[in-house]
Amino acid sequence: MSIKPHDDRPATADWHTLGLEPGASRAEVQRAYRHRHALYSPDSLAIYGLIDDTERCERLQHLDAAYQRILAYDEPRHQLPTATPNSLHTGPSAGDVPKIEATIEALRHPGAFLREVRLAKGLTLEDISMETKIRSSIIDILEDERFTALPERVFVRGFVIQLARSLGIRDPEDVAKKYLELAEATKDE
Amino acid sequence: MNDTDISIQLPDSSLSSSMGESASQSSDRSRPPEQPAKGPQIWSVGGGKGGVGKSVIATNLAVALAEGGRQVVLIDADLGGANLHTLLGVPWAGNTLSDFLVGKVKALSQLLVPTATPGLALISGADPDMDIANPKFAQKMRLLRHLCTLRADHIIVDVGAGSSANVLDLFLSCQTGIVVTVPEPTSIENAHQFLRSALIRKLRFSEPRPRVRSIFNWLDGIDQRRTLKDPRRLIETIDQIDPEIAAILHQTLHSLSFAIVVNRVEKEDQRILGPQLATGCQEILGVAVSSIGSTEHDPFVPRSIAEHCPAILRFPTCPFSVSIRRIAGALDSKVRKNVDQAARR
Repeated sequence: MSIKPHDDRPATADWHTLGLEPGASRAEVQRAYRHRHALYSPDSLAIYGLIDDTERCERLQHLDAAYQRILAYDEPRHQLPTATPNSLHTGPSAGDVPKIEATIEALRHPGAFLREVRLAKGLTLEDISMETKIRSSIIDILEDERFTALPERVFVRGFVIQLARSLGIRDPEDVAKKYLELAEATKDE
Repeated sequence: MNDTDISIQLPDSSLSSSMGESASQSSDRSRPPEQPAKGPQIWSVGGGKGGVGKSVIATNLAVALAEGGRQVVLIDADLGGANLHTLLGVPWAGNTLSDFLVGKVKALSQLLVPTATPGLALISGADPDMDIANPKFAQKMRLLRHLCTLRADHIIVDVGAGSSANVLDLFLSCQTGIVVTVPEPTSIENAHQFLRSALIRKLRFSEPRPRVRSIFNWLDGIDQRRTLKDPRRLIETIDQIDPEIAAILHQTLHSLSFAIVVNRVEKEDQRILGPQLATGCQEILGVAVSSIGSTEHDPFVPRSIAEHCPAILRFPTCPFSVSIRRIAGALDSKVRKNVDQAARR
């Protein structure tokens, strides 16, 4: 069994490039990377007039290099559980990517929870729509919990499972079940 | 703008440190002894571009904070085009900021005008006929000294559009500068320019005056235009000449904090613009910037303006009002956190 040479490890500066401290969780690394990757992308509005294209490209390359080094150095002991926003917390690692645990509190409003996770990952409606092949207008309705505007129940279940799975939430079926329960309860009112 | 016009006058750093980041950051030494431990929290609202909603945001935030049980003073410091009285639907006051700036009115508190919202008072903007659009440095400093003595929880200062020296000075003197922008390239560009100019101005007029002034005079002389636009590059350059001053300026840059509000958000993907702007400014300008929220593009807002009544009062449940209340909550909790920190000391 070969031992990785010491200098394979990502430097502290690599973590700082992502705005993180060494040992941040994989989920945090991905979120930080997506956030900055979008920030330094060619059509980014947020840096308009702030830097020229040369500097933007340099920053993007710098970011990619740091991200690759951190990904390459993927030791479990480095994936310490750290704080994630609001009601999200990452459970123990299942396979490659740690799953997001939906708490009972979060599932009181499963639609809002889905949106929260999506935004925490820095994904737009269009991003998730591309990934799941669900129309963004439907995702918007699902996240808003506009139950009267929802499509048929049978579709809703599939959509919610699809979204939850794509967002890396643990137990997508349970999220769908809670979603439909809430939709039914609201209809009766 | 040249260095000489205000270089002989009172340094602004001594003043802003006395008003600095609430009790948590300002040491007892820098606070004037007569000032109570917990002064008002002073916010400035600016952002360069005209028409992005600075005044509407300032007015509605002030109402929201007052509705939350705080004592709030809203100050119309747009010396070129005051109109907060119109947004609030209060008659033009007899005495305005102009009368204070020319010395006709001795205390800022004499200018306070009640509004329809309990807990919210207005200081009306300057009278254009009094030609006070460019107050002298000493006049501005007197205004800032008086701001700290107002007995209120929050003071919100609308500094108006543009990046002129006066606007920047007012903006910088408050504890937290709120930059308002809309999701359009022109507005984003101006917001960046505004923040950049503010930071450079802050560094340029830092203490100790003689040494800092001579460095900047030298930089002006060798035409370092690019350096003089980039605070981090500027400090790096100065580090090669005078490391001690560079360290002080670095410290100054780190003591500042700003907040960003993205107004008139229409599309879902524009919601991440605030956090992106904050990260971009932090990484590129090297200054602490936080995103405190977005406000919705909302047809009820122009209607409320036409009716001379803040949207948050006229249409309390419209999307804009809901977002404003959320931002007001964020501002208020920030203050509570600072007060708690001070109390623990």
